[in-house]
Amino acid sequence: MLLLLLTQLLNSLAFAMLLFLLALGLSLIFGVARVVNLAHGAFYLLGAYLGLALGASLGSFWLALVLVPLLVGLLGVLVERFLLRGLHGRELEQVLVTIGLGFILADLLRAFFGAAIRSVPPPAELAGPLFLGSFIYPKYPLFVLAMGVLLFLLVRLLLARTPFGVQVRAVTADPGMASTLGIQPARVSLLTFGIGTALAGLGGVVGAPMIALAPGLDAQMTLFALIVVVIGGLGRIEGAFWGAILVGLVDGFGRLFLPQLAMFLIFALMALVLALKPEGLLGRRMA
Amino acid sequence: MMAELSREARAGSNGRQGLLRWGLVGLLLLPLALGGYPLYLATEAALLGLAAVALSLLLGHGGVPSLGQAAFLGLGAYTVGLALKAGLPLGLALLLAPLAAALLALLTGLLVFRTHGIFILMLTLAFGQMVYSAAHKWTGLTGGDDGLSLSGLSIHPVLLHLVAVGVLLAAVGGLRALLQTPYGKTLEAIRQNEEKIRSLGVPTFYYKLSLYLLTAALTGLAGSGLALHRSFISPHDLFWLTSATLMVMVLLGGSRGLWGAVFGALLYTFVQAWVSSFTDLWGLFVGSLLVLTVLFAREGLWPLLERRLGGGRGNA
Repeated sequence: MLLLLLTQLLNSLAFAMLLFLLALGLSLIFGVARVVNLAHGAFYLLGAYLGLALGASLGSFWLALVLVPLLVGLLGVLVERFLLRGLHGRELEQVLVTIGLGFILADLLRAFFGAAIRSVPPPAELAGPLFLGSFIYPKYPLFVLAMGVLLFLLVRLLLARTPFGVQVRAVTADPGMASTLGIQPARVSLLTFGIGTALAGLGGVVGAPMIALAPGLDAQMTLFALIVVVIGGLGRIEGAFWGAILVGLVDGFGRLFLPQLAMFLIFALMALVLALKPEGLLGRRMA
Repeated sequence: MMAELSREARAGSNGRQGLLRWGLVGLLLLPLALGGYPLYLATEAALLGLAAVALSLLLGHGGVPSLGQAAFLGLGAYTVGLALKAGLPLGLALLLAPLAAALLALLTGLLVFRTHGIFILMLTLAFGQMVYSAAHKWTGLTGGDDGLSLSGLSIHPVLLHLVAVGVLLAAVGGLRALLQTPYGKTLEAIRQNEEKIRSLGVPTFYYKLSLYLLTAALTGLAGSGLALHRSFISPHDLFWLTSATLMVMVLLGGSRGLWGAVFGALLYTFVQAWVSSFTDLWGLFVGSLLVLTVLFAREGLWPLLERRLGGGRGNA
C-alpha cells in the first residue's frame, strides 16, 4: 500500500512538471504580452507530434528534444508578429485569435497524423524500470520530474539575474514605465511569446512518452494549464509551479481513490480557490 | 427646418433599416416554401440564432466574454431529452430546460464574477468544459459517446420552424426593449466603465450575474429546441468548439444590436452546410473564420450592411 502511494505520488509529480511547463509558458506570455494564449495546448500537441516524427526520422529523442522547441518557438514568434501584434491592447480579440489558431493547428495535426491514438516509447537510455530494493519504478517519469524542478530553478535564476530576465520582469510590472526606461516592450513580448510557445513544444516532446497522443489532447492540456494558472495565480512562475503540483497531486490521487470524480475534484479545487482568493493562491490582486 | 429635414432623413433610414430586418426575417421564413434540407437548416439557424442573440447581449451589451455557452446549450438539450424519457409532458420539459441552464449559470456565475475581464473568459471556458466532461463520463445518464436519441417524438418540421422563428423574434424584440429600460442602460454603463458605476453605489456584480442567468436561460431554451429538432443529443455539442462557433456567429454579424447575431447565425449555418460538402476539417473551418473575422470584420457584417443598404448609421 505504501509503495502504491509512493508510486502514485511520483506519477502525480511527474505529471505536475508537465503542467508546470505549460503553465509557465502561459504565465510568462500573459505577464509580458497580456495575451492569454488559448492555443497553448495546440502548441503542446504540435511539439508532441513533431517530436514523434523527428525522433523517428532522426533516430534520436535528444535531438528532437532540442530541435522541436526551437521550431515551435519560431512558429510562436511568427504568430505574435503577424497575428497578435496588430491587435495590441485588445485583449478579447487577441484571445479569440489564439482560440482560432488552436483549432486550426489541432485540426491540421489530425489531418496529417490521423486520429489514431499514438503512444511514444521513451528513449532507450530512460526506458525500463529502476530497482530500489523492493521498490520498482520506471526511469522516465523521474527524468521528467528532475527536468521540471531544474527548469523552475533555472527560469527563476534567469529572471532574477540576466538582463533579459530583468526586462521581462519590468515589462510584466509596468510596460509604460519600462518603455520610458529604454526597454522595448514589443521586442520583449515577441521573444517571450517565442519562449512560452517553445516551452509548450518542449512539454509536448517530454510529455509524449507519458501521455498518449490523440486528437482532443490539445483542449485537455489547455484546460489543465488554465486551471493551474487560475489556482496558482497568473503572471508569476512560483504560482505556475505550486499550482501545477497541487493540480497534479489532486489529479493523481483523485484517479487512484475516486476515479469517476477525478476531473471534478480539480474543478472543485479551482472553485474553492476562486471563492477564497480570486487572484489565485500566489497571485497579486488584479486591478 | 434643418432639424425637420434630418428627422425626416432619420425616419427614412429607419424605414430602410426596418426593411433590411424584414428581409432577414423573410430569409428565415423562405425555406418554408422549399421544405426538406433547406428547412432543416433554417430551423437550425433560428435556434442557434437564439443562442447567438443571448451571447450577443452578454458580450456586446453586458461586456461579459463568455466562452462556455455550449454548456447551457447542452444542458438545455439534455434536460429536455431526459425529462421526455422520464415521461414528463413536453411543455414541462421545455420549462425545465431554461431553468436548469439558469441554475448552472447561478452556481458558476457566483464564482466567475469574482474576477474580471479576460479571467471571465477563462473561467467560463473551464466550467463549460466541466459540463462537457460530465456529459461525456456520466454514461448512465447521458449515454456518453453514443449520445441520447429522442426517437418516437415527432413534431411537424413546419410547426417547429414557425415556433423557433417566433421565439427568436420575440427574444430579439424583448431584449432590445430591455436594453432601453433603466436596467439595460445601467448594463451599458457598466460595460463602458465598471469602476465608475460601482463607485456610484450600483451593485454591478448582481447586474452582471442576472444578465448571465437570463442569457443562460435563453441559451438553454435554444438547446432544448435543438434537441427536439435534431432528435439526437451528442456530448460533442458541449465541447468548446460549439462555444467558439457561437462566438463566430456573433462576431461575424456584429456583437451590438442583436440583429447582427441573427444574421451571423443564418450566414454561418448555411456556409457551414456548404463547406461540409467537401471537407470534414471543422476546427480548421471555424478557427479560420474566427481569425479572419477578428482581423478583418471588427464591427461585424450587419452594421456594414445597414450602412450600405439601409443608409443608417448602423449600430442601432
